[in-house]
Amino acid sequence: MHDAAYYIQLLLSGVTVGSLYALIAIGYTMVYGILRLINFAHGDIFMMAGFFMVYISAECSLAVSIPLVLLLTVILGVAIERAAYKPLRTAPRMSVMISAIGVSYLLQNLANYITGGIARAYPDIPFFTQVMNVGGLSIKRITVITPILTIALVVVLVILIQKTKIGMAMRAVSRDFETSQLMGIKINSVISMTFVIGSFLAGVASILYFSNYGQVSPMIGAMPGLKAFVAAVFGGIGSIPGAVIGAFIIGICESVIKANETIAVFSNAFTFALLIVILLCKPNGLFGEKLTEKV
Amino acid sequence: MKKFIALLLALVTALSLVACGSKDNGGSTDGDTVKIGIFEPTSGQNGAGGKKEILGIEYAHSLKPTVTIDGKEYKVELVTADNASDASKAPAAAQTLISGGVSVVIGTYGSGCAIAAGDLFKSAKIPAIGTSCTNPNVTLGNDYYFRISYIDPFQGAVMANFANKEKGCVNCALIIESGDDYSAGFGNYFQKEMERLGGKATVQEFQKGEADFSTVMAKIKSEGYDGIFAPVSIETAAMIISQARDSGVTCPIMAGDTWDDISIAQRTGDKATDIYFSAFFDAADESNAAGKAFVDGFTKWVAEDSTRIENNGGTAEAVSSVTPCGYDAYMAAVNAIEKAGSTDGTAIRDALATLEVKGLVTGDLKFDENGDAVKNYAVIKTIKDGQIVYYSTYNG
Repeated sequence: MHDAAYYIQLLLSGVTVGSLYALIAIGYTMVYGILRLINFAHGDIFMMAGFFMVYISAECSLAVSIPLVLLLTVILGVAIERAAYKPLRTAPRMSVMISAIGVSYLLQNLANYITGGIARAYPDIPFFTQVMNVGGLSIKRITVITPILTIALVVVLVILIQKTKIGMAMRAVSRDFETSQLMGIKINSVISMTFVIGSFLAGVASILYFSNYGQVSPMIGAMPGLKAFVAAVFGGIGSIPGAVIGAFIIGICESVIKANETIAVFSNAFTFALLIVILLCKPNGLFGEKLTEKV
Repeated sequence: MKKFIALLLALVTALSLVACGSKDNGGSTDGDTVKIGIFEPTSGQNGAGGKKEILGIEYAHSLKPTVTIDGKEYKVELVTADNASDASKAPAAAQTLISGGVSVVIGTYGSGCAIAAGDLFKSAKIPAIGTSCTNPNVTLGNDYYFRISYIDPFQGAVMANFANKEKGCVNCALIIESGDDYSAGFGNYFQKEMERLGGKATVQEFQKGEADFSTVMAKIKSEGYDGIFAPVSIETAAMIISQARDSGVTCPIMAGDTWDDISIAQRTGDKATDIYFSAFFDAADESNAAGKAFVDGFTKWVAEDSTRIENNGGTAEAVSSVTPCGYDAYMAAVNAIEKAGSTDGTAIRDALATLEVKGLVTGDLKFDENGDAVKNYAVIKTIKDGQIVYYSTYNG
């Protein structure tokens, strides 16, 4: 009944949405790997990056505003860590998590207050939003750029973690927090670096996401944030390739589900049911390391 | 010491909240004021529309800031509560107004919120005047809810006839937000009328907060629908329009009253082609004297203040058709208070039931037995060069 173009379009949508989840999911998974903290404010950092762009691009050209937005997002991410998580370093893990939820609501309501609660139009980046016609398919350039950019960023990130000194320090910290501290690793700079990377990727994701959908609203971070979180858990929280693959699988599944009108309303339900199933059957996710119980 | 400071801070916060709260806890008439509640979304998916209705109410208030009861003049005080375009938050906003001691409530944009709050107003015996909530269930079985706008069975039939007869659509895709009373209700009436006319409308549901319609558009393109009908919120509208055109879907896109909002035209730019929606009011209609006076006065009033311009979508020139609904609702409210000669909710309700006001902006006003204004006039508008313009009139 459908032509090939339809299936390609479906797959492309899925891969694009999946890539965006992946970029956000990396932020979750890295912070979890190091701090054992689920940073609930991460989806809202993504949203704030969107608003930074709206306000900055009103004053500056795109060539200035894009780097400035990324820089501000990174500063926001690190500032949140310094203000809301660092003082709780020795507190029980639950306290930090509650603090993260607090930050999330703070950011949402702050954005609500500043913007007056209604969606703002995202600046048009012509290079991204141009439509290309390829053999019966009309696709925005961004649908192709997003997955390519995501994969490139992930490759860079994996090299950074595997080959550089800071990457080695990160791996050490994620293995054993106290011991690596004893070995002379500057724990705070490693944690800051994690937030720098996570926020930077959330910033990139926000530019790609909002250019695609055209508007930012204060509550928009919640849903992609949650889905990315599910992707991170699905792939095995703490594992970067796992988060990326998890995100792609969720993106494509959602796209296929949404195209079928009888089950379309279950697309979100599917994602969260997947979370429950994976937690029941394979709590460490697809690529998660099995934790050895220390006695 | 630390504990002491924390305790002190907590006390200060709590006390300041109490101080804020007690200010609103008066009766209906504090000395010489009467309170009218505004129950509208100023945030969320329909925040842009809610703000435009509030502008209409505030403009009406600026023209008629007092009511006369038994020869004594009372000042009208407007109390606003934000229902956040969310049916789950609407009851709390309604409760704020009720405990704030309002005599009558105006609003809201979006039927879901109106339905969610309807029973609260009913049991508190405070009459509510709906502005642009078009689902019939808002007023059905609720003696205390009235409505200024036309209702969805009418609007659905108008749009289905338009789609079928003027645009030649026989196979429409119906894009509906799951669980939204307005979207589902209006869509359903459209579908029924479309089927009666011999066409077809296939439902494609999405969930609240959805941003990605590319798969739906791929499906619409592949299955060859000749029209899209999308009774959805303002925020979703812009995404549906631009994603449809980006995916190469070229058929007409149609909707209802919610789309009469300049922000949709602003956000979609040159992608807004072949868009048609029904509306309550046409600002360019010269034959409507009350409407013309309203448009002239309102645009001047908006231009005076930068906040008003911002709430009107960044321009003083555009007049959304929901703004006159807010204006007319306020005028109906003050007329009813004066007719009742009282600020008591039940007395105002009884006055509303038999109220007749001539020459309001959306026509003469009279409520039927359900509390709905008797309306059989709709305008169909389109988007052209980034502006919302008149397309045709429907007189039933």
